[in-house]
Amino acid sequence: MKKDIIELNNIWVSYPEHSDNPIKQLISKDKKQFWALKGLDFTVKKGEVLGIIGRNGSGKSTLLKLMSGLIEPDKGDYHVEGKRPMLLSLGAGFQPELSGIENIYLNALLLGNRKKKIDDNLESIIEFSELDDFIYKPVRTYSSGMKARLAFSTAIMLDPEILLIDEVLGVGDSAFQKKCKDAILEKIQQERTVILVTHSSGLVKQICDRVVWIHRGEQKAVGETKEIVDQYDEFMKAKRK
Amino acid sequence: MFKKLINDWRNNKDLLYHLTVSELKSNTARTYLGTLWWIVDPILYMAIYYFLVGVILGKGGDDYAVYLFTGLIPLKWATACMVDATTAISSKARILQQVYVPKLTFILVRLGVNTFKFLVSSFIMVLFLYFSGVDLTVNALNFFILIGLNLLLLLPIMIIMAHIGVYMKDIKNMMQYISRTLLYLSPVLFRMEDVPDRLRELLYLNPFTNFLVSYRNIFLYKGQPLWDNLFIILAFSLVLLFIGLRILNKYDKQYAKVI
Repeated sequence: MKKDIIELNNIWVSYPEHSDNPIKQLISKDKKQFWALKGLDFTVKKGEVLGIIGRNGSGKSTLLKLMSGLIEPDKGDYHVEGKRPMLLSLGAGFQPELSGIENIYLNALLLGNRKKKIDDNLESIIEFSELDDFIYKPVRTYSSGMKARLAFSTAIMLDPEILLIDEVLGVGDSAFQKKCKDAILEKIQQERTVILVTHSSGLVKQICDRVVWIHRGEQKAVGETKEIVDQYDEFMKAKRK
Repeated sequence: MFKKLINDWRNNKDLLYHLTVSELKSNTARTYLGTLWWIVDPILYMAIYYFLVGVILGKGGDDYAVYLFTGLIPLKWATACMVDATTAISSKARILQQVYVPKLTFILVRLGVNTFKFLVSSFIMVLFLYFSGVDLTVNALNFFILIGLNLLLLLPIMIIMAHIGVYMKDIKNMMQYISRTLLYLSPVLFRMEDVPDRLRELLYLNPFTNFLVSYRNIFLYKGQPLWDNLFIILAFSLVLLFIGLRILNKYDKQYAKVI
């Protein structure tokens, strides 16, 4: 029996409702709220590959924020064994005027790594990114694909315990996409815990052991990949008509 | 709260250093003068006001240049910190939506960047004083204590500005006017002796007045800082710092929702 590494118990998350009149909002007592997540309840086991699927606006991004510790639930408990999972994306802290190498340090430090660890991994990051001499040039001279490559390389080479992946595989050219996928598959072989969040069922079908389907902030279904993905595809097809 | 602070510090000091350095580098990247701007900036700033008051209006007296310099540099540090602080958290939306970083980090970065520039300017200032024939004594070493006290006042103000800046973008515009007002409500361009008695007392309610008078005492008049007043300001700063940290701690996981 695999151990639970992440536990979500009846998680509710709300956002303050946006108002056109901020002063009125500040004064009025009854704060309007928008509930983005309503009573999510599932666990992630160590070493499993969990897919989280749902349409746009179903609460996936909020769930990602919750899991990476950016926000706290209004109600319910969220518990992680060990280090918090880190979103495997993507050049959030890039400084366009600095070189690729400086940005590797910046990004990796933002992702919670120690300087020593980055020193040790620097070469493999540069190698994986295939940026060659561009690594010494300012990031503003990079194409968007190159930026994505630098970000992905930094994140994956530092070997996070739990991989939280947010539809990143749409980046770079197809050769690099394959490389990313292989790198993730390799992590899966090493019994790393992987959480893949997406709206498309394609990759989920290929790599996930289990799937959680969320719809409008509610947990619609949890279970074996095949079963849930079939339900989801069915549902989406019905919507399209 | 304090345990978390110490923990955050331990985990983030490398990040803090790299962010500060990268911000400094980014600021001067792609300019022709590059890092020379850190030196040119205070000199130009000073020249403008000297030209206005000393030359055009013909006021200020003989030692007006050194008087002006010793006031402008510390006040510019303070106002730059306060204006910059208003966007310290709110401009980091992209980062805050993706990774968890203690928010104090961003405020300390802005404080670090401005303090670094201030130290460069101060160095220029001291050189200028020396070549203008000002007799610098051992008292000038109190400068370092004054910087420490000044930092302790700026940090909590910056925390509070950064917090407000997340919810109310207007604060940045307001702060620009407040800092301009501060320039005229502090003895930067004018001398305390020229102020009517009644008003002079009121001016001392502005903490920056006490700092500016102290900076001048140690650099120009071989005197001591206004220790008594600074002590009161220190106590006030610490209370404010405590409040600021409490606010940051309370809203730590809220910012990512509203940014």
